[in-house]
Amino acid sequence: MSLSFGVFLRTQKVTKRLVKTTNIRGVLQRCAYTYTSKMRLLAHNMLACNVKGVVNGYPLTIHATKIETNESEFNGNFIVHMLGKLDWGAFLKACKEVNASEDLPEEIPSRDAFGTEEEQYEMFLRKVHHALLEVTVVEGHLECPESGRKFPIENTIPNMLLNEDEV
Amino acid sequence: MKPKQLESELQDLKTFSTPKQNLEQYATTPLLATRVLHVAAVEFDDIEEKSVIDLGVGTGVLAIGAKLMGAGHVLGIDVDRDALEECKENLETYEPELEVELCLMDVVELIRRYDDDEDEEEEDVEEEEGKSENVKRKDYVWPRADTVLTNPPFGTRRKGADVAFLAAAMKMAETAVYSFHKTSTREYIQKVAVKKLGAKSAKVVAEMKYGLKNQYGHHRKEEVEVFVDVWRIEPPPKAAKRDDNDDDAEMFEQNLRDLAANIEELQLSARQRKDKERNKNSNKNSNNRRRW
Repeated sequence: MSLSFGVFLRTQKVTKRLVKTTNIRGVLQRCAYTYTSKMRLLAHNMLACNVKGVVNGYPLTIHATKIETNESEFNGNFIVHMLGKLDWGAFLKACKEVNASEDLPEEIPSRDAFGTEEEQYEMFLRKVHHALLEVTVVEGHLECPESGRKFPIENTIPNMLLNEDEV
Repeated sequence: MKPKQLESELQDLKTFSTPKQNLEQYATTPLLATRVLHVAAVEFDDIEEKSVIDLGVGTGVLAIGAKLMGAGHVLGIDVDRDALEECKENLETYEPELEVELCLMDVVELIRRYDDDEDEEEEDVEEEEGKSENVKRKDYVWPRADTVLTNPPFGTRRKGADVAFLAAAMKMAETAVYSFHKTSTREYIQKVAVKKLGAKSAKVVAEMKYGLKNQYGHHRKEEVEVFVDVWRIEPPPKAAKRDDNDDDAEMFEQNLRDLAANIEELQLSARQRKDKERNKNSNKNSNNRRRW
């Protein structure tokens, strides 16, 4: 709460909003829900450095200066679905960079490996869910592993725009 | 969620406070968003528990709608920082928070530059075998999702922007692309999607009226009604891994190169047409002068 309030204060909109909202409780409530669109590891899994000449611009290294954990509703089916699409290596690397590795296995275990132990399997899925969708990077930057080009995370939005000479 | 419910949810969202003409920012109307989301969710099961990208997210109507319809994950991409800020404000009005991730990216630029990039890469093709250091990338690395929703610019201001959006959407989508285009361009879109971009199928799944409010000076009427088609386009199959390049992917790339050439041609012919008109006008003027 204090974290997001700090970020909130720094935006230019704060004055406008305070003027608009006379009800201070309302202001505080809004602060608590400011910046819902923090970068999660799922989006990170899709992003790469596309600067001209860069061959291996993936995965981007996360340098986070501010990390938050937000609760998110668990949907087992969706996680299973995403396991087939994730770049697992990049995901594990990202997990380490944001200190959310939680002893995830080096390779995606097959459903059969858990046999009849439904609970164990769900535990694993929940771990993935947590790292993938609940850990959020509020501030920091992403760095291209090849060129070192930095992509700032401004106001929680990764800025992947390229300069004219980079495309 | 029922269509009526979804529509009224989307009704309260804020739209562009200062729309940018060069980006052709028109807010997706709640009715239009509801229609496409319902077709996608109910008829084709492309939303629920799926990952979704909203390309050109703007103030987030489609992204928020998709999330409300049960999408597993939504990523909103836009080139305009101000629009993303406004989208964020819309997300904040929900409690608990709606999980939509946002990202700044210029896909039109990437698609346009793709052609130039390809030419340079071809020079290196022969020596690339075996030497990983010299291997040049075949394509940009695009974000991927099951379904891509996009309300693209109609391409009247930035020629070819609509097709560039479509090309980018097809790179990102694994199952389907939903896109809006003017009904008057139906044949052209069909041709582009299937022949140029190698789509498995391209179908108009709904026809709608799109009421564009007069937000820019160049419109004479207060509201202009445009007939739009809602397209569902199945992209060509993608290589399983990022590095693999099978025949389909190569064919797709070839098609994309053709497309870029085609866009240039169109721009050229448009320019020529304009020149002709200008000539005609100046002729008329000179005739008038003689008469007087």
